[in-house]
Amino acid sequence: MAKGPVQKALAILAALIVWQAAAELVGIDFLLASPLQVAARLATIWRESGFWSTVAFSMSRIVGGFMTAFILGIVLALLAGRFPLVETFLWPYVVTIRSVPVASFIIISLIWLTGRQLAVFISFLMVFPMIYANVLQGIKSADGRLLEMTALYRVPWTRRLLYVYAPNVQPYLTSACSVALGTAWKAGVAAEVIGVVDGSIGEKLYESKIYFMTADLLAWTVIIVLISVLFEKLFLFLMKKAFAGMEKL
Amino acid sequence: MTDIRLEGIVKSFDGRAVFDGLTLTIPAGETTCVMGPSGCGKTTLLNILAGLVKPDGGAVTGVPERVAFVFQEDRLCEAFLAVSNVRLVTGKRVSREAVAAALGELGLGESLDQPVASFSGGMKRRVAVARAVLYGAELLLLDEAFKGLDEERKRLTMDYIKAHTAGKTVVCVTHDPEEAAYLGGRIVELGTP
Amino acid sequence: MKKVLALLLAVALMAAVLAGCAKQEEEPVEEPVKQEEPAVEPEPVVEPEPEPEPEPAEKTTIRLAGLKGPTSIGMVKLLDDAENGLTENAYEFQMAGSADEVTPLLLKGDIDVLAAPVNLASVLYNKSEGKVQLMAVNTLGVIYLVESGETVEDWDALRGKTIYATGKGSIPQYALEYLLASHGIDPAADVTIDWKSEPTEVVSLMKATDDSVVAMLPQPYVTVAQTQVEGLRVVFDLTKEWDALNIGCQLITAGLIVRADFAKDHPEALAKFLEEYRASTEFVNANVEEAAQLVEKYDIVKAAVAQKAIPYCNIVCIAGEEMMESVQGFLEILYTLNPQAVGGSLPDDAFYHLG
Repeated sequence: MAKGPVQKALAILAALIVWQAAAELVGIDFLLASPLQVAARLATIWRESGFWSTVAFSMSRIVGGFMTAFILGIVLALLAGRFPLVETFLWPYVVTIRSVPVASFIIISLIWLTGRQLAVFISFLMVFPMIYANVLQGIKSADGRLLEMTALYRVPWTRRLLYVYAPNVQPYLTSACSVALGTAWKAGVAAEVIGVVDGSIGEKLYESKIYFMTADLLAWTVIIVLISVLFEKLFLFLMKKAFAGMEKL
Repeated sequence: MTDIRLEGIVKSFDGRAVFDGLTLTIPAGETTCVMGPSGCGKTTLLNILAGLVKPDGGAVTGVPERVAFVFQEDRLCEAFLAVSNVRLVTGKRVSREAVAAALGELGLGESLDQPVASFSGGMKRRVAVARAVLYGAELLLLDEAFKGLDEERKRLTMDYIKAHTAGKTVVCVTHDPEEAAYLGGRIVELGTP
Repeated sequence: MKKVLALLLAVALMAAVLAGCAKQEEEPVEEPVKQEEPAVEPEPVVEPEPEPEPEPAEKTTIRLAGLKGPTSIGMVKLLDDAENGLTENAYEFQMAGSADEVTPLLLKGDIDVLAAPVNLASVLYNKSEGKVQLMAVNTLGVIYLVESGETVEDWDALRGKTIYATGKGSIPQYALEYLLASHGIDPAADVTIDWKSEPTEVVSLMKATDDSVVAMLPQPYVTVAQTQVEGLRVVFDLTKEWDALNIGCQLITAGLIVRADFAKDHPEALAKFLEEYRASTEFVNANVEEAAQLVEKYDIVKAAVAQKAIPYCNIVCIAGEEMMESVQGFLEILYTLNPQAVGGSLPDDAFYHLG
């Protein structure tokens, strides 16, 4: 897609100029903050008290939701791969979660869940179908001939999992994770905003909106993206190492 | 170990008859080479012996509990090392060192630290052979096991097999009469259906 | 790297879209037309000559906006009269679901007067550096503490309980927290306040269990809840409770915010508006049944609900010095709870349009 780093840098510069121009066009600076204002705010916001606890709060919940979905997705996919009955049984749930819009889930959950539980649940809900479906696909697409070989040689299921299924699942799982991580963050923060969850990043977004602090709004947005990108890189790196480690066993 | 008997084996695929009442005895503890033109069912015969394919009619008796197979396609786990691939089927019964030594006998001693994905066809083939032999089954099936190997390595591999399969039943499918001769044992011709 | 670029592009795109929405085409500003008083001369009682037609007065158009809720109830009679040409000014009206929709319009000059929460007025005043003013208080407190049970008789009984509430980040939150603290209850430690985003969620919760549920709800949802939840009783009228604290200001919810430029350019029309608004308020409070029909007509809430709710909505029209005193005191309290709630600092006297 994009060419060398110089061209990319120029493109970013151009985008920033467009943004600055738009801010000036709107005219009312507290309806749309300019890049400079946002940058200035970013410099001060992380020093304010409560910044790190807010970030930690949202992170722990969203990452928690993601990890739960990750583990449960893999486990259930393994079971579904082994027992077609499980797959059939799970199918209506997976399809429902996939088709129903996030906002509906958020609104329905708001009645039954407390604010603290909401972000975990919504992140989980978004991530689970992706992980489950992809791992299941990876399992189903395992090389039949390899499986025949392991059946003949009476290879126990643990080794079969490691040698045949794991390497096949790896690309599916990796691609699912890179999408799922971003989605977990977006959906999780959206849930926090709609539920105005105490002490969360979403609450900060909501407050910046009602108190017309748009520099804050955009600064927090930048922070959310940064965290999600960093976490994604970290997680994918760890996953790669884990698979590599498995291959050395 | 008893002899393996196939009696009246009937098998068709997609309406095409491969076997029509095949009767054959494979003596225990000896090497049998199966030869014949392409399409005559050599691989199917091995698959039936391995229990991977069920015949449409007839009976197979005397097949031992454990069967090892060198398939036509290598069927290795590409991301793993050669030693790992062998230990996949042997488990802890055979130590890493023993596996490494066997692979050394097959001329693979220099390549033990790379995943088999980087191996040439001939190298992969030899890993599959080591895997099958070290599994320690009473019946060893070889499906064109020496295809793609040059003369020297062919000899190496055949020597390895002969050295390690004393007293085992070996069924080897091959095109090449010289291979059959080198391996020794009976020769069985399967005709075209 | 790609992600950062994507973020910036996204923000730039968003910005461009926002700019497109916000920047409306400059409409030719209507020339303010002076109202002409039809000359009235005492006719000599001799020959009843047909009076010359009084020149049709050029009416000033005032563009109003309100949020869907009790804060717009006060003006329904005014709007109805305007439709029938019975008012001295001409009025246009639009209803918005949330403040975000109309705030930019006010600032851009597309609407002239907005009925909205008083703290929003202060925020806008501060952020826009004086482009808006508060001209009246039109709604006192509309929040009530209710219970689907009988366990709470006084403030102390709330200790250790969970209160379900709506209105986080706005006046209901501050009012509740202030009232709790004034009765010696720490809102963070001694009670659990579970903030929901919609009153319907709270009602659903109450219906779902036989246990007693304590909640804070605004009108008209209190009325709605009473029809749906058996045995729902009002424990505290928070406006009255606030008064009982005797702190010199009342619990205020909303007021009329006017564009400063408009106020400067049309002082008489605005004064007339205030009069007509006051009359409308008085009408609504005195003729609840009729007003309820109008409330339904303007799509605020169903007539049956409005009829029961209107008396509890504290619809008023307080202007001038009285307004300034009350609002100043109230904003001070909000400021101590959260300075951002009033826009970072207390507004100066120029904030108050005294007419």
